[in-house]
Amino acid sequence: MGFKKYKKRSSKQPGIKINTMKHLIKSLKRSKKVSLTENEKNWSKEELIHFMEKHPVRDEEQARHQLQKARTAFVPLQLIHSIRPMTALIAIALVFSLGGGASVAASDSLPGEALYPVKIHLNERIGSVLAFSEEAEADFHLEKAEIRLRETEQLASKNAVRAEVLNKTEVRFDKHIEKTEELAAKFEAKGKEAKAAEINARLEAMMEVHSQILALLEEQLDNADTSSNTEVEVEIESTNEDSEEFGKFVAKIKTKAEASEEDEEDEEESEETGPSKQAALNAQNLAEKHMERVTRFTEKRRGLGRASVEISGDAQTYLEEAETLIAQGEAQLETESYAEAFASFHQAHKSIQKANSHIASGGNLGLQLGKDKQDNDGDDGNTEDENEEEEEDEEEDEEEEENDDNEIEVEAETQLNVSGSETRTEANATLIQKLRARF
Amino acid sequence: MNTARAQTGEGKMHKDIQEKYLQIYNKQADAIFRHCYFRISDREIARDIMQDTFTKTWEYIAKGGEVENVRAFLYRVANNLLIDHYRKKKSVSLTAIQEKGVEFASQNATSEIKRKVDVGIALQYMDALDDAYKQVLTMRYVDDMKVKEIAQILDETENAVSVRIHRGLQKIQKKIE
Repeated sequence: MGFKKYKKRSSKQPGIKINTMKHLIKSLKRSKKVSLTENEKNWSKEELIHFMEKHPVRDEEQARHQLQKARTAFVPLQLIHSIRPMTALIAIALVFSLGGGASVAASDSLPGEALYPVKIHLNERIGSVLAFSEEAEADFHLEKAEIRLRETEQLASKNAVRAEVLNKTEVRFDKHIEKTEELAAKFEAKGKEAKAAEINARLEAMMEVHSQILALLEEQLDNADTSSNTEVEVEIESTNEDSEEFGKFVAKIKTKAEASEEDEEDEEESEETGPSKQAALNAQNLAEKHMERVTRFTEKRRGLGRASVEISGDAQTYLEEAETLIAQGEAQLETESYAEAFASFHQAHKSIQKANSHIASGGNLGLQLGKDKQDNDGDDGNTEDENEEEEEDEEEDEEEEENDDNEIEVEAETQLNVSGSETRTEANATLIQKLRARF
Repeated sequence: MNTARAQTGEGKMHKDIQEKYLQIYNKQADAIFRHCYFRISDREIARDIMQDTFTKTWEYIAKGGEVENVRAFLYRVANNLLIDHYRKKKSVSLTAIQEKGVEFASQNATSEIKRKVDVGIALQYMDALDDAYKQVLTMRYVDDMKVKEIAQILDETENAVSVRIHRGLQKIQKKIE
């Protein structure tokens, strides 16, 4: 059960390559330095003055007034444009008239469902407003990005991915990632190295895990295409375009996963002075908080009635790994090896994130996910056959869980304001009816 | 006639107006130039268009036009001029860029080289795009505007702008692969 060691990258290949979008965007941003020379600027200015003389102002009062209030900063004149008015009104009306149930029911909705706009424009908007610090904001965007991934995965597991809808989700996902990366860079610049490292670690781990999940789903879908689709009911037939778009998305996530790994190595290379004691302590603090959050989350889910959900084998392993790493980091702090301690906490973040991602999605989809090839030194003391058996056992367990899951979900929603024996889709339909009655 | 006006209060206001406008020029000329440069990859023409932007805007104000936000207005004018330019002429070919090289204002050799490379790369990939994509990508990443601002200038919805940026990036991603 090794963990990835910090290794020096071999010398860079000659010639400049862009291998990620991020590099391109960085290039574009650095290009801000393009500007006019003193001479050019002055010469143009002279020409402008000459022109101005030739074309005098007609109404001086008016002209001065216009230039007086000449604002060069952008003022958000059209706030309403940012959310389609109808959607916003519906969302607000729903929440007030149905006692908040809609908002809660919306929290599980998927892209393309009726209540999804409520999730995006209401629930998540409130969430973002509540993020008071930049750290909280970064956490927020990271979580939302992951949720976008999970939504797509859930749709894929039902063969319900549609190109148009996926594009919109992708746009949102990209925005969240962009914000996350922006904030991470900010943290670094401000000297909050520990938080920056945490965010980067989580981002990387997230990409890794979901890259695997998506690849598996893609495989499933490819196999499903050849066999007939009698089990899953789809309202609209999926088209070639849909599977194409999905394929593109999967490839994109994979690229991101590989790219962020490279970035991590870049960063490790460029570190001249090791992290200070303070940075290591901060990292410890954050790792412990992160651990706490995830354990609290799983307990909450148990509390809601999903009692039979055991944390999948993978997730458990990752959590244990994380605990070991945290303990290791503490030991290293004692011996004042701050750089190593920092690294240990950094790795701990990744493990916790992976556990988190597995808990949330792997179980629900009934997939069996392998651990990192790098992590798998074959050290788990089993022969290959024993491993295979274990995997099959786990799959069976997960299927049972899924059945239990459905029953329990229905019960849980009963507690949460939805009447009687309605399933989620039926609940949505009821809400829509109520809505139509009002409008 | 100028001297006569200079003696009256009117002349003073006239000067005042000119100065205000020139202040705006000082602040925004570089940004507008940069934006033009990324759209058409030709320094000379970019300068011309930047020049035209300011003269046209002056004309508009001189004739009594109303300007809510000067920066947005300048970008709109520049944008229209660039689109006109595109309609008349095909964009500069890739080889032309490589031959002319990328020109800079800075005198510092090493940073100049670094920048040259960056801009060269960026231009190379942007160049193949349709102008509509170049437009939003330049505004977003070179001019550092937020989606909201771009939407204001182009008079489109934020969503439309987001999607266009996203698709532009996708097209570039394809080129990279």
